[in-house]
Amino acid sequence: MPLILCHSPVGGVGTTFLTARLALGLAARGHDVSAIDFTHADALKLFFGMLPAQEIPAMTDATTEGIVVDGVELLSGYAAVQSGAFGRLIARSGTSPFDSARIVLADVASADHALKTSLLPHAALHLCTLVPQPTSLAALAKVQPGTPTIDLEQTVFVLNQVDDTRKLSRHSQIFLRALFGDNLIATVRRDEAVNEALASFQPIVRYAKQSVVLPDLAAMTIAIEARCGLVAATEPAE
Amino acid sequence: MRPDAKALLARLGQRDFQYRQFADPIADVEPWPLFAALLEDERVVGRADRATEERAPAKNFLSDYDDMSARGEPGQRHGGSLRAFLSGLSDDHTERR
Repeated sequence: MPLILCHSPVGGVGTTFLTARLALGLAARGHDVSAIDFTHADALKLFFGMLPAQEIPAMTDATTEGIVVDGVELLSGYAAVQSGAFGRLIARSGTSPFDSARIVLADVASADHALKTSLLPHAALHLCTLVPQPTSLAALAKVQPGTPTIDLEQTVFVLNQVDDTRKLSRHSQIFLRALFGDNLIATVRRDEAVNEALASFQPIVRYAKQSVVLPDLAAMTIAIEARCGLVAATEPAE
Repeated sequence: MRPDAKALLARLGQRDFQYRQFADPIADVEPWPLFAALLEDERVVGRADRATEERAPAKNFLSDYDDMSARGEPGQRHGGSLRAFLSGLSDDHTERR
């Protein structure tokens, strides 16, 4: 089962949100999924309806099982990375620290280039979130230093917070489609209900069942599932 | 009016809604300087000559941009073949959505 590495060269673009929704989407399609929060912000759990004060177990804590929310096992990887032990483990050639029977999604902070670089050889896919804003687009030059961004076969892009009422948003979508073709694997429209759901400690699917992001996220999940060569075990109910 | 919008307004009674068709990308697409800079950045597109030879998605985009650059007038970057190319893309985009 693959590791899906979720990392963007610029923060604040919704990588954690997309990681959470992709994990939930894959779980709903019958896959065994773990989502590991490697960030200091510890925000992944919020998208599962958890409270800021609630803790999720460390991925290295063998005595505690991960918290499972809507079929997704939640783990924290931040402490393991800080200790250095995780880095030594993944540096070993041919060694994958992840459960081979599960899809693992890694939410990596934008500033943590070292972790992103060390996880990349273990990843089946690198999911890079963009938003139609200049700072995000300018960072396309820094997705993977040393390799032109349009040559990154392991990387797919999701354009998040698309707003067709705004000119730069529309043009960015056209531009990125031309640049990346099918590697722009999905677009997700902007909806304030995402933030409102978060502030209500509810998953977006419960807070705003009619949100425009939900069909976009479903399409993203199916596209990434196909890109990873996975086959859905179950089709989620409409 | 888009058929889906028309159907939705019909279902809702139309009284409280004002329909506005936002500008068609065909009419207002322009090459932003940021896009031009990215297309000239080897960290994004690699060497441009190689890109135009090997990469289908970027091929037309880069070629068209090069054509405009060759004309010399920065102001002309806002017209010509890149506009036509982007317009074509926006057609595809509209159909896809």
